Amino acid sequence: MSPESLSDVSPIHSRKPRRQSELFAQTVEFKHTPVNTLALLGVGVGLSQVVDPMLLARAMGIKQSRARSWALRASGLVLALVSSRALSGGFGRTRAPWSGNVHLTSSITVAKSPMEVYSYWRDFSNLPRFMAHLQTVTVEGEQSTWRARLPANMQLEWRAELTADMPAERIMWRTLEGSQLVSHGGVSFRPAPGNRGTEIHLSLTFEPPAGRLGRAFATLFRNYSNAHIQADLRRFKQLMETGEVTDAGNQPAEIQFGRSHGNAGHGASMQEGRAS
Amino acid sequence: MKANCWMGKHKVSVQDVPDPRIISPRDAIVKVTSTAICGSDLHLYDGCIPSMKRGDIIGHEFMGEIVELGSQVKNLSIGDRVVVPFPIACGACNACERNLFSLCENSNPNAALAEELWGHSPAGLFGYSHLLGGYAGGQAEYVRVPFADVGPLQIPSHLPDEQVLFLSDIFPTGYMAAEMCEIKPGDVIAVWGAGPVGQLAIASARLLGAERVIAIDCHAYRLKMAKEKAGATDVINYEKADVHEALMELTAGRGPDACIDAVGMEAHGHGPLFAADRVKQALMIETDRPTVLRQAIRSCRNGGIISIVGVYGGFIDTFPIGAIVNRSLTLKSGQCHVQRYLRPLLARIESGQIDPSFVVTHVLPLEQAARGYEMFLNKEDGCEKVVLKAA
Repeated sequence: MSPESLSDVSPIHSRKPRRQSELFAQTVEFKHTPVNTLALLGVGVGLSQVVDPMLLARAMGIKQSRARSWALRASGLVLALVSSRALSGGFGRTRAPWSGNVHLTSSITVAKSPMEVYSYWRDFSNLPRFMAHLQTVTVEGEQSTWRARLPANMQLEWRAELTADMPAERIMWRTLEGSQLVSHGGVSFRPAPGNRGTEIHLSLTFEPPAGRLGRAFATLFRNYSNAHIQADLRRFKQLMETGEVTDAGNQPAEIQFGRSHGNAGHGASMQEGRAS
Repeated sequence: MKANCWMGKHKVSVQDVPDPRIISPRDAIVKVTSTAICGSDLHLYDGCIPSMKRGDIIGHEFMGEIVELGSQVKNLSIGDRVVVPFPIACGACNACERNLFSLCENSNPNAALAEELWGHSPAGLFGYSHLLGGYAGGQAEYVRVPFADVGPLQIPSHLPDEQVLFLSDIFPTGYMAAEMCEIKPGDVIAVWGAGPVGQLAIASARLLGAERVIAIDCHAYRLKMAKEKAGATDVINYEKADVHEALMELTAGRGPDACIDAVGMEAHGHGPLFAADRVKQALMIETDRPTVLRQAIRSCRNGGIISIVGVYGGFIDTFPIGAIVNRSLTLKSGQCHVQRYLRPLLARIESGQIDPSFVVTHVLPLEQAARGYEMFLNKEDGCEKVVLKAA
């Protein structure tokens, strides 16, 4: 997104952070859990063993030798490294389930006029045809109800309003107060040079909801990256230019061997999409 | 239906698989009559192309009869006899608008994968790895053809399969190789590789007015075909002569005006640099062996053109960029934009200017595909081009 359009699309950046995101942010700070206390002790013992390998050995009545001292030094280093990794949440026990907003941007060129692409996008009920995380969008005037699919058959629903609507130029939206999710997005359209259609810049920001839904949301969005909305935009381009979302079909062998392959066709889950 | 499936390195087998079906209103199902094994299929066979999955149907040179049509395909009818271009193209994106069909922006559903390797994604291809779309290929009894309103070309009934089958790939590829040479009267063109694409590049260079065409290969029977059938004026067997010296001798020190690389990533050669490339490829330090490319760049005349149609997939080492810059050489390349050559080249076949079927040495039933690959790879029995009959 160009700096100019970015600033246009981000009135919500200045908004005070929501309480639930502050709560999520706190979980990365040190907490006195038994695991953390043990890990801290591990770092201490490990480091002291590296500095003076025979300190512990003497205390335990082990005889001094050069080989033993190097072995103790090495084991101390390993202990310190492993413990510090546990302390920093490296093994996942203390890692924050969610650590703040997700801000995503991507762009693409579509060989259609700005008015054509604007008109398709402006009807939000079209969005689920190319945005993988959306199930349905129902439009009622300036407002709309968006439904996303979450793991374990959970659904996330929010209501959004238009905040800007400039035909053939820009559309912006944000969630209404009281939604399960705080999100805002914007898409800008401008003519591509050389009669190549329209340059589209998309920006999406999500703030995670609280509670059980928040955890599900976090699982869903942890790996959500610009590559995912790039895949969304690619499907949008395919729809606009060819009238369909490109589908290679399955290789028969994949049906036989029960594999599904990475065609991020419409309705693909959000976990895929990034090339792996 | 029966289809030839890639089962791993040096292993293909014809298996019973489910029939393809129409997925989109722009699809067609083609009942294959003839299909061929391409030199680039040998790169799959040798395991040089990443992102292949066990069981993938391969093959991208095929023709046959339309047996099913999506509701939006208005330019074809059931029963039409068609040749299908190997790149899949939507006909509507900026690349297709510019006739760069093998760069279609919409036909590769795995574009993100290709972008990681190459920066941008080219078009999806039939039966040529998941990197290039994961589409089921043409060495089968039936094939689903996406964007059927754009690709397939109707063929008049009086032309036999063997004469028109190669419009799907190797004839336009050889022709594009020659076209990229910007041939002017009096030009001398050197062609590395006297495989099927090399033969048709030689023939095309003659069609486009090259005065002399020099074929370079190590197989006597291929050089014989180049001279007797394709129209090469001179041949060099690189097992018996130093290619650079021979080219300098043949051009009185100027070098060829343009050089065509119709070999690609699995080139063979001699000397310490070739040995180093084999080691580097085995260690996966480089993916492709640039033996031919280096020779072509070295020998090409000052200000000449290097035209690359042999398939390369990844990275090469010891690339003589200095020769290119200091000697004003131009490098041109691309997977063939087949769709733009279909009609003009069909016209050349119909008018008798060329009959590309001269490359065919073996015709086998589809069931014997595995034998065909083996013969083609090992150059057994004078094998130049294998056509498989599916019906």
